[in-house]
Parts: sequence; structure tokens; C-alpha cells
Amino acid sequence: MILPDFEYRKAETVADAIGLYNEFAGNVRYLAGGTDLMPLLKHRLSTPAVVIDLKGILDLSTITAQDGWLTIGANVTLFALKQNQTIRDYFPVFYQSLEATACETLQMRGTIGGNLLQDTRCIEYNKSNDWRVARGFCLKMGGKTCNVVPGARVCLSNYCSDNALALISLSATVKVIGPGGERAMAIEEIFSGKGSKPFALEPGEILTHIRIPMEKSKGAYEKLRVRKSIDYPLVAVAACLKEDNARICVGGIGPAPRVYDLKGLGTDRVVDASRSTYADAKAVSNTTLSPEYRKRMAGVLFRRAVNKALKEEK
Amino acid sequence: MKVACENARQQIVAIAAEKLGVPEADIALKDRLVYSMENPEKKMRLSWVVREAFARAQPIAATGTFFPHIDLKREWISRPWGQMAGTFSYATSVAEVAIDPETGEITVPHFTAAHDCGRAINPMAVEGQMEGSVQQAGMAAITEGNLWDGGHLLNPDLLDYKVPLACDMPEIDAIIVESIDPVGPFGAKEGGIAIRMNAYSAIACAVSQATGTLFKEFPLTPDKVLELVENGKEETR
Repeated sequence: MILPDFEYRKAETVADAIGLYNEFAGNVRYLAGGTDLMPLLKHRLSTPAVVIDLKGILDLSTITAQDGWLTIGANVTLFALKQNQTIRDYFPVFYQSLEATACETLQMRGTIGGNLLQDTRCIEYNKSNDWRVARGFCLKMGGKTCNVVPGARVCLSNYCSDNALALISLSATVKVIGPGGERAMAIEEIFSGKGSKPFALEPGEILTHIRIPMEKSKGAYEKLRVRKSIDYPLVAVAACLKEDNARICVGGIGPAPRVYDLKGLGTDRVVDASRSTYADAKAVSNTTLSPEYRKRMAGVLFRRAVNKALKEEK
Repeated sequence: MKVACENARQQIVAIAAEKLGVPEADIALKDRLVYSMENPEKKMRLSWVVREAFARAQPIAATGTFFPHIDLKREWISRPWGQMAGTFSYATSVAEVAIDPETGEITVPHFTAAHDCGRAINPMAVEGQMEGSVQQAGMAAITEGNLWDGGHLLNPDLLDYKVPLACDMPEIDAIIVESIDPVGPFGAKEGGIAIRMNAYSAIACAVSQATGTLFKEFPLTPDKVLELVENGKEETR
């Protein structure tokens, strides 16, 4: 498929990028690794006048450990993170989620910032323009109906980042800079919960850094997919244990990940929590496997992830 | 191909015999040379023969055809008898599967395929064909299938139509069982198709045996397999 026409600009600093954003009155898309953006452009799901390349912002390509935080620049590739010894030693859940993301070729291209801010996906949305014209435009494309659930009022597309789940379970925070200034927030706050516009970021904001508290943790990442070699998650669970508490994040179903904080890790407590995961998971038939199955697996993977992390602790 | 080569050789031999002044039956070809077997001193480069043929405006070019002895009147429904193929190749597939009882995910740790391909002219190519068949039939039985919504194909791309990739493949033992076919070129039959015809049956049988129940639909995606696991438990109760 051929890319549409757009102007290409490369920014060298964050201020540069925001300047360009203002210059083109917001009709822009930011480009990092491009593994999510390029297919969207080719499918005409995004049609910016200008693409602003952020890869040249060198400040965002470093990993530093300081003052009890590990700070990761948004331009660091997934592969580089996987090679980082601190991440392997301190955050096993994050290492496992990086390992489970796509394949190594894509990990070398994709950046952590781009991975977190990837658009939500749906089997009736990520399609060519011709296909979508034939099927009729859905809510996320600006149409009036959902093609998966007839009559639905909101879009239920799936947020498919593996690493977001791991970072949420690690209580990470993110820093964003936009035309309106700079702000920091817990990573789970970047989600709007709406499939049609999944992120609660202001227009023009750039995710610049991710910060993880430097505490050794035990963790496990469980991902369900048809092909172990490459696929997006059909449902995934990240679990991070610190002493007797656990923070568990369930994703791959619906437009935002769900977070569960457990105090005490007795078997009853975990089974109870996994039941509520099952109840909370609002799966619809927008992937290749049936929604009932994915809903059920949310609970199964929840128990698995916690048990795997517990075993590691011993 | 073999017949065409033989015809091309015949053209070379005719020119060389004339040039060297020896009978055609005395000519041999080796190491890019054409020579007389009786008197090996009489020889010339193969390239000269080719050039000579070109100068005569009759470049060395040959075609060849081969048609097996089959009964052309045979038809699958109305006349299902008579010789259907020139020769028959055979193959056996053995699949080893592991099923996760909680998620229904299938993994294939090991696959053994044995194939009677006639003479294996290029054994590595035959093994490659066999491995390709394990992918296209064996592993594909677990992952590949079209999804429809009314008349709309939901997975017209290689992200959602799941062709197994290299990392999804099992350990494969490819065993070539040679038999020299009396008719096929150099005794060959075919490479790989026989595995292509039964690799999915091997996966299907293994899954059926592991779950203790039968099924009627491919692909064996985890959601369907989990159902089989649960039905199997009920049936044995």
C-alpha cells in the first residue's frame, strides 16, 4: 500500500516539535519508530498534512537511574530496553512484556513512547480504505454505528500495548510536554477509556519520559495470542509483587487497561480478584478469537501471572 | 526437463562428431569438453560446439515432453477407476502435541515426517519441501482460517490471517525414504506433497487423542481446543 502525500519535518528538540505543531495549526502527527503510525497512514486511518519526526531529539534517547527513579526517554527502542541490565534485575515484569512485544525486528524499530501511545485496534477498523468503504464507516472512523456490536454507542476497540500493562503494574509515571506546558502523571491516567480517542492528552502534547520507582520487584507477564512469534495480545496480564502487595494490570480487552491492587496474596484473595477480572472484562468480537473465550482467559491469566510471580519470589 | 536435456545433448553430439570426424556413438561430454572415447586426443571445447551451432543459425535449443501413462477417461464421480497417476508417492506424519488444559493453546514440540519421494535428486531440497508441508498443513491447521462477517472477509491481511512463522515451527525430523521409480526422471517421484496431504491429519489425530473427543472444524485455535478439552472430560465421565 502506498503512503499518502504529507510534508515531513524533523525536530531536534521538544520545543522545536511543539513549534512545528503550532506552525501547522495542529494538522500533524508525531512520528517516532513508525511501527504503529505507518500502517495507519497507509490505510488512510490518519491523514495529517505534516509528519513531525521526533527521532532526532537526542535528549529522549537515554536511560538514567537517579534519585530513586529509573528515567527512560520516550525515544529508547524496545530492544535497547530489553538489553538494559537494571530493567532485567529490577523489573522482571517489564522485561517479559518487552520480550513479548512483536518480534525483534520491530522491537529494534519501535520506541517505548510510541508503544505506549499506539492507537487502539479492532478487526473491523485496521483495514484498507476500500474495505472500510465497502463495510461502512464505524464510530472510530467518524461513522454512526459500530460494526462489531450493532447499536453500540461507544467504541470498544482494544488497546494492545504490552509494555503499558507492565509499567502500570510497576506504578510508573509519565512526563508530557505540550503547547500548554509540562505535566507529570501516573501512567494509567493517560487513558481516556474511550475507544474512539483512547488518550487523555491535550492536543500537541508529546510524551517525553517514563519514570519507574527503583525498587526491586517480582513480576510476571502473561500474554495470550495465536502465534507466539509476533501477534498482538488477545488478552494480557502483568503482575508486579512487592512484599505482600500486588498491583496487577489486565489489558488487550477494551480501550484502557484495568488495574487491580491486592493487599495480601492468599489463594482465596487471588481467586476472588481473578473472578472480578472475569466480570470486568468487556470483550466483544473484535479480534480473531471469540469474546467469551477472551473474557474467560482474563481470569485464567490473572491467576497464572500472580502464581508465576509468587513462585519466583521463593 | 530430462528429455529436453537429452535432445540438446543430441544436437551437440551431432556437430561435434562431424567436426572431429568420429561416429556419434563415440562422442562423450565431460569437464566442458567434447571428446572421442576411442581416441581422447580428439577433443574440442563445448563452447566451440555451441558457437559453431550459432554460426550455422541453428543454436542449441531443445524442448522435451513427458506424459505419464494414465487413464484419461478416469473421472472422480462418474468413472472412478483406471490408472490415475504415473506413479504414487507415500508419506507418514507423526505429530506430538501439548495442550494447555486451562487456555487450550496447542504447542507442537516435535514433528516427524517420512516421505517416499522416489530418488531424492537434491536431498536438501526434498527436506525443504517436507518442512514447508509441515508448515502449510501441520501448523496451519492450528492457526490458519478465514473469518467472515456476512460477505466481508475479516482477515484479508497477514496480521489476522495467521500463517505460522519460523518461530512457530516445531522441531522437524524429515526422513527421506528413497525408492527408485522405473518411469520418473532419474527414478524420482515428487517431493513434499504427500506430507502436505497428511500433516494436518497427524495434528488432528494427536489433538483428538489428547482431548479424548472428535471435532469437525479447522483451525484448532485455543478457544475451540478449550471446548474440546472440556467436552472430552465430560465424555469420559
